[in-house]
Amino acid sequence: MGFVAPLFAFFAVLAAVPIAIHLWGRPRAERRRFAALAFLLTSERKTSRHRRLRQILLLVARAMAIALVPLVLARPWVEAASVEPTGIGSGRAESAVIVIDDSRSMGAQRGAGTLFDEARRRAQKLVDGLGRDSEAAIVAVATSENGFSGGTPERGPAGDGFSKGSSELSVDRARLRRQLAELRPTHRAGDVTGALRRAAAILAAATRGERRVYLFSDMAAHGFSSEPPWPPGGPTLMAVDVTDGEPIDNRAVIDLRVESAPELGPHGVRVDATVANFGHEPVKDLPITLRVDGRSVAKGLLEIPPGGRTVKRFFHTLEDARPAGTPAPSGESTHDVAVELAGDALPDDDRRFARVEMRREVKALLVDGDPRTIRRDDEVFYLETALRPGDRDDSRIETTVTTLDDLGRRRLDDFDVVFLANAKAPDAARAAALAAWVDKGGGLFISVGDNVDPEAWNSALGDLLPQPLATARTVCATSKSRADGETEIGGAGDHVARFDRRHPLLAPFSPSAAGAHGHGPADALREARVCRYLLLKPTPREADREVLLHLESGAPLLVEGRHGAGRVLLLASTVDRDWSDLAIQPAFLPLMQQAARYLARAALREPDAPSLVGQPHDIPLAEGDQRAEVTTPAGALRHFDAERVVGRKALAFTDTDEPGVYKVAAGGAGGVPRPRPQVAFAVNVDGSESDPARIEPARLAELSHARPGDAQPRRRRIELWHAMGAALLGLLLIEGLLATRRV
Amino acid sequence: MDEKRTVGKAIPSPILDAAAVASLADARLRARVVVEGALAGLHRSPHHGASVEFAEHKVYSPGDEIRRIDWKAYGKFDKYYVKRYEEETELRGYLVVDCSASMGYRGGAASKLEYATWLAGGLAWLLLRQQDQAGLVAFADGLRAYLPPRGRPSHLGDVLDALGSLEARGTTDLGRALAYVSDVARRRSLIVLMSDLLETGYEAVHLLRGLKARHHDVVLLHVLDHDELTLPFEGPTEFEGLEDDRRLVADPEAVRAQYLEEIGRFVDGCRRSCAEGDVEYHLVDTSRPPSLALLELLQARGRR
Repeated sequence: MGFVAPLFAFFAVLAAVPIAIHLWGRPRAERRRFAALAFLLTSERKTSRHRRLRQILLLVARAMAIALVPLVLARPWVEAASVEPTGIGSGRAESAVIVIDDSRSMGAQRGAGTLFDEARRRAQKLVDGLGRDSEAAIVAVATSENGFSGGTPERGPAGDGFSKGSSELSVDRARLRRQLAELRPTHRAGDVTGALRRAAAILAAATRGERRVYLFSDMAAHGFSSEPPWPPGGPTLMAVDVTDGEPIDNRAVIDLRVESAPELGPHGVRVDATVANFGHEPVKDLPITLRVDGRSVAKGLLEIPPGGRTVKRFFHTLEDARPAGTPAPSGESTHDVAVELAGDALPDDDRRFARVEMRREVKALLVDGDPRTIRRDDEVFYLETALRPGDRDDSRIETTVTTLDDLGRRRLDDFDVVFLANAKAPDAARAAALAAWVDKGGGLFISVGDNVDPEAWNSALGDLLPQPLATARTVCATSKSRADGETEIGGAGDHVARFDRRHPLLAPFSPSAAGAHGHGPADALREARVCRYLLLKPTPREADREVLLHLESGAPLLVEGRHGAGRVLLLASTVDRDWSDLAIQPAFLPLMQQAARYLARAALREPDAPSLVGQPHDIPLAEGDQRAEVTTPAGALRHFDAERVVGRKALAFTDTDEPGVYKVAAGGAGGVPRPRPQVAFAVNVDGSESDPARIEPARLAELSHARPGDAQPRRRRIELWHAMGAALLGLLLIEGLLATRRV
Repeated sequence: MDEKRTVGKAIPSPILDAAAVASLADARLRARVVVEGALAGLHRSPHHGASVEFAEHKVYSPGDEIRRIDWKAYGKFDKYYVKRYEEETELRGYLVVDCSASMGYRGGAASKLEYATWLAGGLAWLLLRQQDQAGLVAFADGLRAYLPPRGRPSHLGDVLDALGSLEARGTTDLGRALAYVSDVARRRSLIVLMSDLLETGYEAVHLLRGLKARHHDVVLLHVLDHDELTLPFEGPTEFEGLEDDRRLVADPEAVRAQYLEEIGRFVDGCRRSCAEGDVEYHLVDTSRPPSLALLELLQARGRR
C-alpha cells in the first residue's frame, strides 16, 4: 500500500479527538430531586442498551470520518496480481485462439453462476481487449471434440462456421462475441489437450506474427494428457484458471451396479453405489437415497475421508407391477434405478442411473430320476405339483420335466434352477456342464433316493456336492398300501429337529409367519416323518456349506453349498413318498417354492455396457417397425421416421447429451408408437470429470513448452481513494442518522 | 345566599381564593351512591317510604301498606296504585390527603401537596355549604391528622387549619390510611383520595375498590406535577428520589420517549382499574388552576 500524498495521512490521528471528547469532555450533571424516579429507572434500563450501542456507533462513525478525510486526500493505492494474461488490451496485433472448457466439471456453481459462465465472461473481456488488427477463433473443449449430434439447434446458426464448437480465425469481433454467447456448458468429458491441438492447427494458418492460445478452464488435471499439445516452437499458451485457486469440494456417485440378491427372493436386488469424496474435508453423514421407478425406497448416510471413496450397498425387492395371473408378453419387467446424493457445487455427478430388467418367472428344469407311467408314482409328481400348484402361474415358477437321458439336449442357460430328483450320477460331460452352469450362477437342487449311488455321485459331482454322500440309514419300515398303492410309513420315523429360522430359504417357517390357528409353520415342518435318508460325509470345505435342516438324530437333512456364483441344495431324502412323507405335508409346498426362488439364477438380465453422455447408443428395433421415438430425460421428444428405421436391426441414437433414462417407443406405419420399456436405456456422466484436482502449473508449463515470462500475472495498481471517499460519505450519512435519533 | 356568604366570610384562608369560590358558587355536589342519613338535604335515598317528596306510582301488590293507596288514581284507572316517596339524606365526606415526601415535589407555583390541600379545602367548603358533613384524613407512613365529619359551618375552619399545617415527609402507607378510613366510615360515605400514587402504584386502586365494595362513593384525584407528566428537563441530570436515596444520572432527552410511555401506561392502568371497580378517577395536573380541576370533578359527578 502506498500514498500519492503521504503527508496528509498523518492527520488521520485526529480520529482520536472525538474519542478524547467522549472520555473527558462530558458536561457536569445537574442534580434534581424527582418524585417519579421509579419510572425513570425503568426507562433507563429499557433504553440503555440501544442507546449505548448507538453512542458507540456514533463515536466510531465520527472517528472514522475524521480519519478518512486526510486519508482520502493522501490518495492511497494497493498493488494486486491481475488474473488476466499479459497482452490483453495491449493493442498489439496477434493471432489468438480462445479455448473455452465447456466440459461437465465447468458446471460447478460459483456464486450466482457456474465456472463456465465465469470462463465465458472472461473470454468476452479478452475479445474486447484484443488489438485492433488481431484475429481470433474460438474452440470449445467438449463440443468441438465430440461434434454435435443434431437435434440441438441452439448450438449455433448454420453457416457461421461454429456449428461444431470451433471457428476459423476472424477479425469480426461481433461474430466472436456471438459465438461465445452461443456456447453452452455440456455434460460431457473434456479433452483439453485435444482442444489445444485443434487450436494449434487453426493457428497454423495464422497471418499475424504473434500466435497465442488462451485457455479458460478449471484446469482439472483429468483434461490433460501426458503428451504436449504441440511441439516446441508452437503457440504461446496463456492459461486462465477461472476458479482463481479456490478448491471445489465435490462428491460424486462414480459407479452403480445392480445385481441379483437371491437371498431376498427372485426379485431381490443388491445395489452397490460407489461414492467418492474429491474434497479436502471429510464427509460426515452425507445423505444418499436409492430411488426405484422415481420413488425413494431406501436412504443412508455416508462417511468418506478426504480423497477417499466408499461403497454403499442397498438391498431391495423389486415390485412386479403386473397383476397376478396376467400373462407377461416379454416375461420380464423393467425398472429405473437411481442413486442420488445431497447436492453440492457440481450437481451432475450426484446422481447415477441404471435400468434393470427383472425376469417375472423362475424357470425350473425338473430332472425325473424315476419316471413312472402312473403319475402319482412319478418321482417328480409332488415336486412339480408343489412348484406349480393347479398349473397356474401364481407361483411364478415355470416347470419343465425331463429325464437324465434328455438332460444333454437341454440348454441349461435357459433355466434358473435344476432339480435332480433321485437321478443316477450323470456322466462326466453332463457333470461338467452342470458344474460350469452352477459356477456361472445356476441353482441346483439334489434330492436322493433308491437310484442314487453315493460313490458314483461322489466321483461324478464331488466338487458340486455340499458334502460327500455316505450310506443310507433306515429308521423305520415303509410299505406299499394295498388300497391305493401309496407308500406308507410304519413307525415314528425321524423328524426335523432344528433349523436356522433366519435363513431366507426358511423364512416361511419363521414364527412371524405363524397362522391364526396356533399351529405354527415350524410345526408343519416338524410333522414330516423321515424314514430313510442318506448320511453325509464330513467335508473340508466347511465355509462353503451350511446345514439348513437337522434331523432329531443330528444328521443333516438339507444342506446348502456354494459353487462359484451359484448355489447347490442337497436334500438327503426323497421328494416323493418313498423315503419320507415330507411330500404330503403342508410344509412341502412352501419349502420347494422357496428353494426354487432362492436358487434361481440371477434374476436380472445381464446389464448392457454403461452408456456415457455423448456416446452413441444402439436401440434394437423389431421387424416391422417404421417409426421410433426417444424421450430424453428432460422430456424432449426425438422422432425417427421410416427412412432411419425400416429394415434396420438397430437405431443409432447419438443425442445422449443429458444424463438420465431415455425412453423408447416404436411402431408400424400409421399406428401410435408403443412404449418399449425393455429397450429404454440409462446414460450417465463420465466419472472422470468429477475429480477437480488441478494440473500443476509447472506441469502445464512443461507441456506447453512455456518460456520464462510467459503467462506471468502482472501487478496492477488499484486506487483506493474513490472507495474511501464513498465510505466517508456513507459514514457522514450514518452519523447524521444516529445523531438525530434520540434513543 | 346568606349561608354561602357566611361560610366564605367565616374562613379567610389563603387556600380558597376568591376566584375559585366564585367559579364554584352554582355547582352542586351530588353523590352518586345514595347514603343513609337522618338529615334532609339534596341527595336521594334508596329507601322509598316516609319522606317529603312524592316520587312515582306503582301498581299495588299484596304487602304494600293500605294507607299508601292513591284513591284518586284508583278512581281514574280502576286499579290500585301505591304512592312512592324519596327520602332526602345528609352526605358524609372523607377527604383523604396523601402527605408523603413525594407529594412535596414542586415543579411550578405549588407542590402537589399544596395543590391537594386546595382541592380538599374547596370540597370541604362545598360540602359544608350544602349542609353535608366533611371530615379529613391526612396520612403518609402513618396517620398525620384526622377530623371526623361534621356539618356545622365552623367546621370548615378546622379543616382548613389542619390542611394548612400539613408537611410533605415520610413514605407512603396508603393501605394503613384506607384501613383507618374504612374503620371510621361506618355509614355509606363519599371518600375522596388525593395522592400521586407514585410509591403505591396499582395497589392503591385495589384498596379503593375495596372501599367501593363496602358501598362507599369513592373518588380518586390522581395528583401529578406537570414535570412528572412531561419530563421537560434538558441536559445531563442526576435525579434523586424523594422517598428513598436512589439516584440516576441520565440524559432526559434520551429517556424521555420511554419515560412518557411508562408514565402514560401507569396513568392509563390506574384509570382502567378504577373504571373496572366503579371508582371515579380524575387525573389532576398541578399546572392547571385548582378551581378548574374542582369544577371538572363536580361536572363529572353531575353527569353520573
